[in-house]
Amino acid sequence: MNETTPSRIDRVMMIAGAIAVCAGFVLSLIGIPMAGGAKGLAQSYFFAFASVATLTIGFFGLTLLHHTTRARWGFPVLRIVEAGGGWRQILFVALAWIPVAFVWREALYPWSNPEVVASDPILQFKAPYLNDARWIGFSLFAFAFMAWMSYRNSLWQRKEDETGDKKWRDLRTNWSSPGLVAFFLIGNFLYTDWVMSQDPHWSSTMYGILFVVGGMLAALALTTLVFCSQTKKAPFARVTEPWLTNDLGNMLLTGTMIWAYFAFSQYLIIWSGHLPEYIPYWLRRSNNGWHWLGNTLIVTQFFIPFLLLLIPKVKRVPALLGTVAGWILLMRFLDFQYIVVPTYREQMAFQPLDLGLLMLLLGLWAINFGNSLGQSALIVDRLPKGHVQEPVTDHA
Amino acid sequence: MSHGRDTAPKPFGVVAEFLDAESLLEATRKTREAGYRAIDAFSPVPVHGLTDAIGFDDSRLSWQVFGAGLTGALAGLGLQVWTSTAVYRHLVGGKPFISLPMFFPVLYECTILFSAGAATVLMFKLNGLPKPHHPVFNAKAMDRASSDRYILCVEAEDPNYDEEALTSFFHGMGAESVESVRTSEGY
Amino acid sequence: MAETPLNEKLVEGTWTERQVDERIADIILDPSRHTEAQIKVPKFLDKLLPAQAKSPWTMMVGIGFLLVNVLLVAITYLVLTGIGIWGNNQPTGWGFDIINFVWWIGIGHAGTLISAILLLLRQRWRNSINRFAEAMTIFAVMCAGMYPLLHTGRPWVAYWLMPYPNIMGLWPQFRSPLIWDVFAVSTYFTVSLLFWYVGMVPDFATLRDRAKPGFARIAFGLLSMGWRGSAKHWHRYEHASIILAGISTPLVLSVHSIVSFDFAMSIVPGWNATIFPPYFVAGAVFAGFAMVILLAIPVRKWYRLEELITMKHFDWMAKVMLATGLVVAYGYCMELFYMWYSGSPFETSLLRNRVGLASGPYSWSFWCLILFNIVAPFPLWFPKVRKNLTALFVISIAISIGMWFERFVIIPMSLTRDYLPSAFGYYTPTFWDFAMFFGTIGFFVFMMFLFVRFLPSINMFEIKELLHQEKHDSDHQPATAEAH
Repeated sequence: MNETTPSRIDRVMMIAGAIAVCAGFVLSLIGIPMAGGAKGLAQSYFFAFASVATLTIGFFGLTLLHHTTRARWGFPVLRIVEAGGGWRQILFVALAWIPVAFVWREALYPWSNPEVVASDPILQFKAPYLNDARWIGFSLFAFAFMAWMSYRNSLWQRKEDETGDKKWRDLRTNWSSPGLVAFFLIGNFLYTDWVMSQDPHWSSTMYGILFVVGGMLAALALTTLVFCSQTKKAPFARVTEPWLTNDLGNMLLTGTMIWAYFAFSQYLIIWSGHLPEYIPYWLRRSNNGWHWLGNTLIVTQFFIPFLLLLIPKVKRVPALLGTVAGWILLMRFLDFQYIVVPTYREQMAFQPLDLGLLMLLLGLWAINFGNSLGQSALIVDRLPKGHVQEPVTDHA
Repeated sequence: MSHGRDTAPKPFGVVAEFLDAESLLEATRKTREAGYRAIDAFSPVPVHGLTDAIGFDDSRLSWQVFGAGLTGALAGLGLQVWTSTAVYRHLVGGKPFISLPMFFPVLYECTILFSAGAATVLMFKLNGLPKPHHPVFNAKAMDRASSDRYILCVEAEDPNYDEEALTSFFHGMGAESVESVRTSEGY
Repeated sequence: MAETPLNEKLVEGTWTERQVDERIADIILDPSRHTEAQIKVPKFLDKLLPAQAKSPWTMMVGIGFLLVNVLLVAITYLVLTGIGIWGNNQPTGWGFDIINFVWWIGIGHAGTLISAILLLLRQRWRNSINRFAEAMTIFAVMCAGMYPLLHTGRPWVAYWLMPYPNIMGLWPQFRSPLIWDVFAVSTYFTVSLLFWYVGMVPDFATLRDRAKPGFARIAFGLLSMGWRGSAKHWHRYEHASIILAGISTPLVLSVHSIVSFDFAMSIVPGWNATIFPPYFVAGAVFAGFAMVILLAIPVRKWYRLEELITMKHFDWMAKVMLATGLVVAYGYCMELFYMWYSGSPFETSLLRNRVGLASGPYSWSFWCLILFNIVAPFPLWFPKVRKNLTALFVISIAISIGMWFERFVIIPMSLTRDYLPSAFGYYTPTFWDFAMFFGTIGFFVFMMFLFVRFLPSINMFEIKELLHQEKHDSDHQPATAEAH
């Protein structure tokens, strides 16, 4: 324990981010000619933006969840989660959103195009909701809400670290529990605005929450990956214990199952109803090659991590758990591709620009993430007592 | 009665009674260290570490239940595929004959039903229950083993079994009472 | 998922294991426990009635028994006449029967949640209420099961629902959610029964050893299967319990999801919503916890169990109610918003029917639902309310009514106003609908109090385990240790 090297995860993240930015930039340059003009660029950019935004929003949701429940597994990884969903990241997402909102809005959203609306009675009916001012206003409100909440939480966390006063902790809990309720509502409407309304005739009540839960799963996977890669280094080595990796593994398992449950329910209900309003969504995603991706994802995104996480050993060995977490994260991005992209591409095809822009944005995100991690100690000072003493009761 | 066999009660084991779980755990560890192997312990609550102390481990249940669950899943899927393609082939709502998404719920319930049934039945079977009477019940101390007494027993099949030695060994560890139990079972 | 509080005791006072047995087992073995608490009756009755008759147990079982007879009459008349005696008629093929089916099965879910999910999450506060809640599950599922069976009109051929080779060459149609329901509910009942029984086996052994020679000892002896508490047995027993809990958790989710599919798979406006499965599950847990609280408050008082079922338990249960209530509220918001957002004329007209007091015949029930399910539980945000039993009791009643209204809003409201205006109608329940409904409530109360009388209503060995753990915690941690 004494000889552990200090973790430089913040540096690692920044370097990895810089590499990703460079690679993404090159890939994007190669990809632009194949993307099909300005519209193709907008679409690829939107895919990258939606993925990064969902990851960040997922992190933000995890911080609220932690402050609400104060679950034991949350404390050692709290700093990682806070760095991923902190106000810096949220501002980054808000910046990344600007091109979507002000450059490519008309290219991405049919309801934003007056000519389309003029010939579409349903869009006219929806105009009180689907209009430019409300759409922009709501996103700005959501960014402000999230940035404000996370800023306050980290402020109170710092004050607690300085003074040791319990009142800051209770304040966080008292704000985060109603905050969590607001978060789910806001998250739902954000995804209705951003993604669902690209196909403005289609709707599903499960859709927004599916995105939010998917984002939280991605965030948890990244958290676990970062944590598991650092378990041999200070200060993480001090808190690495079988119960912790076991809990993280079980949370990933739960997240995977909840995600699968939501996704399957939505599919089953729409598929069996086969109503003309709702079925086009799945028709697009089960033809022209997209079904290959969809069917693969059933196995790779659900069955593989699910079965692996059932094995107790996987949840005890950090290297194994980290690998599974990395796999889940990768699959989350493939799933974003499957959910977001078929709306504008009939035929499934690999677009280098999608990957390039995703790497570019993710790289920038990682630099920002590493920077946030470097701002404070890597684990919270005041771990709950009994954290180390509590005997492991491995029920799994 | 006159089979010419010896039907007199045979020794079953020596039973020691303790007042709490910690003493039982301590005594069990020492008994095992002393070289005894046919040990069993009885307690009103599960005592953590006791199975390790008597040197017992059995994880067959997991695999058997997993097997049962798999059987249930295959049975559920097989039933649905067979009935809706072979013996009761009807077109419903324009859906394919093999509608896997719609077969999933029944498959799932069958998996769970089989696993739960197997977990229950196998737990009792591996434990050798139901067995209304067991020789150890002949010990007076067992009357409170389901309430607030912690019982340690070294059975007669142990190669080192020696009633007198065991009795003084148990007394030495602070047992509340020590009994030699006899059994007429097995005739 | 919440952190287990290490310092706040879940069992108040100091207890020996023997005292735990006495307090719990003697509810069964010592009849005088049932007459300890007395109910106040008017003076003229006071002298007439013997002490036995004034005990809460006799009163509850008496009321339950009366209503069971109402149920029996209602069923007899139904079977002799046909389901025409109910208010169901075109276009409302599903009326009280399905409303009550969903209501009851939802109530049952809290039992499984408490016993399975909280076991997996290592939440120790479940220990003194799990047995009770599991019993609730069994009886609630029984009540639920009666409705679809009787709704078939010919319950004596209910076995046609199961797949079996028959001379008619008929097989179930596995692409129908109603068949999924048959599998889900029967599996749920079986697994709950197994879980409940397995959980009671060590307690049956305690009862066997405590009972005086006689019928009780023989009965508990048989039920205990000769359990002797061997360490080897405990090992496999705990293993099996975890496996059962591990498979009951997804089971409980699947059961109510499948119940929600009964609606969501159809294309009736207001039913075909993708949010239905999780929102039904949350609603079920919401109603179930309300029922646990409704039953736990009086039983705790009458049988002096205050130290075992503490205010901490009520606080936790109230928090779970609050959380699930918020999920339910979220579901309502989503339903309403996307009815409008869909832009479909059928959905938007349903929205008007639901919300507009003047435009929909049943919109009053929607506002009742909002009042009982969203407004009434709101005070649960405040810790003081969560620790006030009167308030909890009232809120739990409100939630039980509210969750009933939820199903009422879903079923007749959509069925009487679906696609074709020529097929619009109105649904009025009859006397027999109410007789069945109150009959099942009576059956439930009757069974619950028989359970309290004849089976261990608190898990004795788990309470003892809790004593051990709390002792262990206090040995290893200074009493002042703070959990953060």
